[in-house]
Amino acid sequence: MNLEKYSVVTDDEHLTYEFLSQGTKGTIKKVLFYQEIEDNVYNLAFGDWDETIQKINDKARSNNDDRGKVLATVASTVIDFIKYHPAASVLAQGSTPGRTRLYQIGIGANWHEISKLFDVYGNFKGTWEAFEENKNYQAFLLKAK
Amino acid sequence: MPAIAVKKEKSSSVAVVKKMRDYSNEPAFKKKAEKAIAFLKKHGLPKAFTKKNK
Repeated sequence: MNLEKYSVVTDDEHLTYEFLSQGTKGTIKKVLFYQEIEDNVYNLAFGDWDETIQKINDKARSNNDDRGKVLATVASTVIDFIKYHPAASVLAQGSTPGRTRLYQIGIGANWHEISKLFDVYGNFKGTWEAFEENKNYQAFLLKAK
Repeated sequence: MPAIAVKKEKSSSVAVVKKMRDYSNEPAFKKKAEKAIAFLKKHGLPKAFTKKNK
């Protein structure tokens, strides 16, 4: 995807990713962790590393004025993860409705590219359906075409 | 126009590091996994995905 992104580091299993968001509020370490919750189904867990309490905060609103770049970076980790786990499906559900909406915005903003690479479904009122832009879903599921 | 245009870096690099913190026991992530498992238990997977996963 031809968007500005942050550089990312991952482990040799390509399950954990870290990058540094740099914006008006300073530098914030972002962490993504792909958790296998069923055979070949991975949950995308995403949060900020809080240096003070040495824990992940998945509800932080960092307001670092780099939302587009962060979302594009998250998308780049999905692409990398699928490259190394080609049979995997990825479930993405925000920790809050606002965060789920951010995933919606991220997928919508990059739909032209995403739709070429992935089959994407959204869960709308309890039912899975093929992703449509501008629809508010509860969760997203994607896998390589 | 300069002879060599400076290309703005737009692609991300994903680098593998040997030492990565283990986040598997992070309470926030454990909670997320539990929530995701419960969600899939309630809603299942789309048929297209279950066929491909087999």
